[in-house]
Amino acid sequence: MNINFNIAPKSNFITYYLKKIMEKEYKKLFMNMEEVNPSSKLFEKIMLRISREEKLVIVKKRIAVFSVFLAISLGGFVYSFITVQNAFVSSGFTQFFSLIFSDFNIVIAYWQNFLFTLLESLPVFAMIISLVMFSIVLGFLTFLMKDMKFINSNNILRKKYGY
Amino acid sequence: MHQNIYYCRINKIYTMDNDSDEKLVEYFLEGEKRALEILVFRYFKMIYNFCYRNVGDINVAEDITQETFVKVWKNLNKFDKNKKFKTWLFQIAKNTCIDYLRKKKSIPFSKFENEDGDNNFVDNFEDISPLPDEIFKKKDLAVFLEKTVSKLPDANKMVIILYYKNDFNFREIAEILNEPIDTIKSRYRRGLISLRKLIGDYEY
Amino acid sequence: MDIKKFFDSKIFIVFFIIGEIILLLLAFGIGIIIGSKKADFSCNMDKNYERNFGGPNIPGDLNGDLGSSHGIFGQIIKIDDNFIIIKDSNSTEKVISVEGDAAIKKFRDTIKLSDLKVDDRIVVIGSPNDNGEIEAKLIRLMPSPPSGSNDPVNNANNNENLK
Repeated sequence: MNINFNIAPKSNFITYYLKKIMEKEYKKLFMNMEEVNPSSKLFEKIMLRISREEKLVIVKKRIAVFSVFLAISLGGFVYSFITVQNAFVSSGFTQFFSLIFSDFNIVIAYWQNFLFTLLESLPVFAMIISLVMFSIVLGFLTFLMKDMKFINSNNILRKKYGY
Repeated sequence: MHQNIYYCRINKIYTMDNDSDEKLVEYFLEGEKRALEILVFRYFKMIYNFCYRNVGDINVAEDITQETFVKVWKNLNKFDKNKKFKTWLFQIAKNTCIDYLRKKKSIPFSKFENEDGDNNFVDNFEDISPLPDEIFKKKDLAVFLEKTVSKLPDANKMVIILYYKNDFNFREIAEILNEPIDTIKSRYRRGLISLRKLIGDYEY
Repeated sequence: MDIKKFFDSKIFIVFFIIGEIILLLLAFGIGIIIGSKKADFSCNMDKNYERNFGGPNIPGDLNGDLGSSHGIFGQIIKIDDNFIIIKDSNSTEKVISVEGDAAIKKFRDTIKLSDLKVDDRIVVIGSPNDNGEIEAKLIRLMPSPPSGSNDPVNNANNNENLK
């Protein structure tokens, strides 16, 4: 369509109408502009990324909670460890055990009595509590390490893509 | 009663594909995760194209597209239901593109912001003239158009693309680019003039 | 046979469970043996309380854990002919019978019963007899702890003095 704008009468209605035609033409032109197709897996990548971010939120909350529990259980473990240490000393186990080094031959000669002495003076309940506390600390630590590993891998990906 | 709620829910899932963007956002906020999937599927190619035309790299465009939708997911609870979702989505995409380009420092930030940059093409034209008929008969029109549009100044190019390719009006483009509407109209006019000049200069 | 495959296999899990059960039963059995020995000793101590300590058994006096029936670590409170009365960290008193075959040690030297005196701290390994006494096989004289140290025997004495 060849219209010389300078010759045509200049009324608002005509100008508006001509501009609309022009817009239609450009619209028709841009319809020929091809869409660039992304890789076939972009959609999956996006959804995967969103689900990873969702998991990140959960993991961060979990880390906060587990850290508190870890601190408490660590305190409990330290206390139980000190209790075990005291229990070993007060029961005489440490003193009995030291006889292996000072009187090895006699201890071997009366090994059954020595063994019974050791077993009877073993502070079993204090040890059990200490080991339970240690297992709890280890458990929380393991969960925390796993979550930290996930966050670390996420950070590496963020750095790689410059975000 | 429980059976009815169950069937309503199943029905909702299967009919969601035809729902408006704003309705899908509402469903997602109610806990329907598939609504977000539908939204992403609806727009991911469009956003990818938009990003690609801004950054010029297919891998980077993919990364920015991913990052855009992650930001959308993170901020959906803050989305203003009175606004158009598509506009808001493109706003996020544009900001993410700018963030990337700023970090890479490949394009000065002012190229997006300054509408009064030197534009030699404007000087000799009084108004935007219609397109020559020959252009529609051109064999490699798509490639030609791509190359021609890429020569436009970035600020004007973005307005033209959003107007003609993504069907936004000036008000929506102003919202996306966070500029006054008059600035957008001015960039549109300048962009079109430049485009017309480039098309006119080509020998058919 | 691939070791990793073995550890991941179900057979290993079965063996592991059986092993755990065996260990549990073993521990339980040892506990029963030690418990019954302690029970025998406490029974004999109770029967011979008047003979050993020169007074009737006050109810509640022999309460709590009597400690090892095959050894004791504590402070000498009385030496009488071939008998030593020792008080441990739980303030439990036991009678040690010193026969000719008992070895009495101080550092590397062998000493005699007459070299021991009241308030000495000793470790004794022996075997319980039917009189509620421990027949010593090995007596080791322990050095006195430095003042202010966390010594269970001293702490027990201090607690008693405070009462």
